[in-house]
Amino acid sequence: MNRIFPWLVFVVFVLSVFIDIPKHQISFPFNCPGICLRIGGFSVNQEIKTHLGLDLQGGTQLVLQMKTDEIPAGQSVTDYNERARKVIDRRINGLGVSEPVIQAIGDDKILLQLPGIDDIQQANDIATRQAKLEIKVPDKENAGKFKSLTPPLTGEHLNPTYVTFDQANKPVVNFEFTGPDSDRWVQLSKDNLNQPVQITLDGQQISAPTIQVVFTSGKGIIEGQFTVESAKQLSLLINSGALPVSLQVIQSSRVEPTLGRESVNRSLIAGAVGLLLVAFFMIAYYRLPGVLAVFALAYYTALTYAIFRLIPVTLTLAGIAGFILSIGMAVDANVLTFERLKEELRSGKSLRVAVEEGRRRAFPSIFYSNLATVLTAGILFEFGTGTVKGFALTLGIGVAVSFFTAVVVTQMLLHGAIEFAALRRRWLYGVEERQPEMPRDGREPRPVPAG
Amino acid sequence: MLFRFVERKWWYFLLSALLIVPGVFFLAIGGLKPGIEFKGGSLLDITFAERPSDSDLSAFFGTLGHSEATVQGVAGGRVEVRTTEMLPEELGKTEQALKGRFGADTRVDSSVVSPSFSAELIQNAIKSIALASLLIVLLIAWAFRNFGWGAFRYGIAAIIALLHDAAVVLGIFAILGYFLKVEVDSLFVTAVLTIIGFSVHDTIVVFDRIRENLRLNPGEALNPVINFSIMQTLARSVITSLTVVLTLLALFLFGGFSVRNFALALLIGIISGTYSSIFNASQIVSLWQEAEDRIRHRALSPAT
Repeated sequence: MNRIFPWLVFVVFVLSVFIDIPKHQISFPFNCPGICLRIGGFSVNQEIKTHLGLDLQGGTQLVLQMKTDEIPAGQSVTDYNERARKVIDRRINGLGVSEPVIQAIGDDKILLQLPGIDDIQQANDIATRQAKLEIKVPDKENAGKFKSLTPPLTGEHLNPTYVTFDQANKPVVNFEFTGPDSDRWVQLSKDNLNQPVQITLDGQQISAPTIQVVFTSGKGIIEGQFTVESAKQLSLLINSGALPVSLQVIQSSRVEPTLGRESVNRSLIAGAVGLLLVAFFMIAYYRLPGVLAVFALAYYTALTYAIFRLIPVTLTLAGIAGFILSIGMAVDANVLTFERLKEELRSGKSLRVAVEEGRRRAFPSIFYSNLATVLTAGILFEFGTGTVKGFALTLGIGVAVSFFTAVVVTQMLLHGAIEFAALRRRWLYGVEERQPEMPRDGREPRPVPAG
Repeated sequence: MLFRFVERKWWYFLLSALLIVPGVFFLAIGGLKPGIEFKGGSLLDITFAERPSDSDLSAFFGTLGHSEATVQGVAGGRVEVRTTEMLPEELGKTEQALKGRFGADTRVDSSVVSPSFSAELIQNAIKSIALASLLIVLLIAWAFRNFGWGAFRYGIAAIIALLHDAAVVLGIFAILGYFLKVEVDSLFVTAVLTIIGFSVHDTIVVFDRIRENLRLNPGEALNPVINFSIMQTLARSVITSLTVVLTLLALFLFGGFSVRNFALALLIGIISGTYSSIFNASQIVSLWQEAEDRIRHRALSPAT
């Protein structure tokens, strides 16, 4: 175990660096961007790239026009605009796009900025599909045609839908009517037993299954020629609710970062300068452990960034703030350990014992403080929205990784270093070569008894 | 030599109060200025014959009294500028000024935009923080579980320190908002969250040392142990904060205009967090202990 472990840590590092390198391909047996492997039944298909948010990279911008003539007379246009924006917001959230901008322009237009979505067609689809689900029944007077019930049975009162697979292993969307609509659905199955009913989305038929039994609940499924992706998208559209009014894209274009390109570039340089200063400081102050800490921090950065690229996490300035805070905590874990190491050395312990004691004593502080942060990040992620969520995600991942690097990697490096005679000089650890006697003040309690 | 961290606690509380009380006053009179993200405003879609740099454009809007303006390029050489709401008259003047400065063929389309940032976000964030605080109290109490019910005072002291740091930052930004019209945006919300995270982290490290020292010195009075524990963690507190402050200072001095307020909020918060973990958090625990001793003493004295 102890033999294999350092190698494992090393392999993780190599993998991380590999994932961090932009634009490479590991494709077997076919070509695609990122990592694609298929060996027997095992397959990986993961595109690797850094997703940057709207504030840092810009994105796709759509201007949507509401069809105001669909709004009943006397109803407020502003009200419909707000409802439409809420529906779009839910859809985009469901897609996992982080921190979009959704704003009303005037009364009847909506401005939509989507970070990291390159596919304008998909953006258009998400923004303009009305997603009005309706169940129609056979028209008695017009054979082969379907007609709406009065009032129409629509997807307005549904529990959240979800995707499962049928016997033929094809994806289907499950739905369940709630409230009075549930009873209407049951009634519909009685009235139309052994006849087809039509399930439509935005007036288009998706499927026309024949009712074979009388239903006992509001449940049903939508079959169709779905792929897993398209079934999920349909489920998301239905769950987000139908748009209250049709929308039309009147403009779509690429936009630059909201923070401004110059500002982003300057801030990146400033961030790099800051980190270099921290590295210099750590080395100057802690000497050999400082150097090891810088290695551990490099390891930390490589691993965290690789995780961000793999998940993928959309990086925004708020996300980077979470990341920087977690770097601060990673530095802190090292500082805590090294301060303890110095204390133990000063109290006259041998290097080997001091390294072990330093780890043991610093551990609870690191553990509890990191746990508090991870808990906070978890709650913010669960209940937060937009910026807050992005921040919480990077902070949570960052602190979890920093706990690993500070406790495992730094310790491994320290233990490795003291194996070399040349690296065992006390000066290298920031402690005087010859340990002076340190008489203590009489009033002082002696919280850490030597030995 | 021992620094008397605990004995001088009222001085440290006074210093905190001197910072927080004016801040709370300006908060109460509405000093915290919500930015465009919260309020909505005007969106100017500008087409230039020759596009000026973002910083030139920001500076130009600054001279018009709209230093809050954000500049975003759109494909096709257009630029979108978001400002607080302009009335038609002001819009006309702005258009004239733009034409005068950047050429007569500059075209400006303006529209009113709604907030891009919902009040829901702030409400959710506050609820989450309240829930997280509760968990943190429980977590710290768990760490101190050997102290019985007394364990909760540590958790509560950590939360008071957290509130202290949030109040300092909110207060200073309320003052800046009142006098310098500094606005708060979504990044400010992030900054406050970051500060809260850092504050708890810092406090826990000091408390953990107190816990260890109490365990190693059974029977020792609380105050000397607190003094000694703060002394022992002082180097760590200062060094850790220093490394974060270094990064933030670089961002504040050399970073882009739009992240400056963000860096400033973080700087204030981190310094406040370090202060409160050294000079406030443990002192609250000590105060609690002293109050408890006094009550117990009073309860016992009639009997003896």
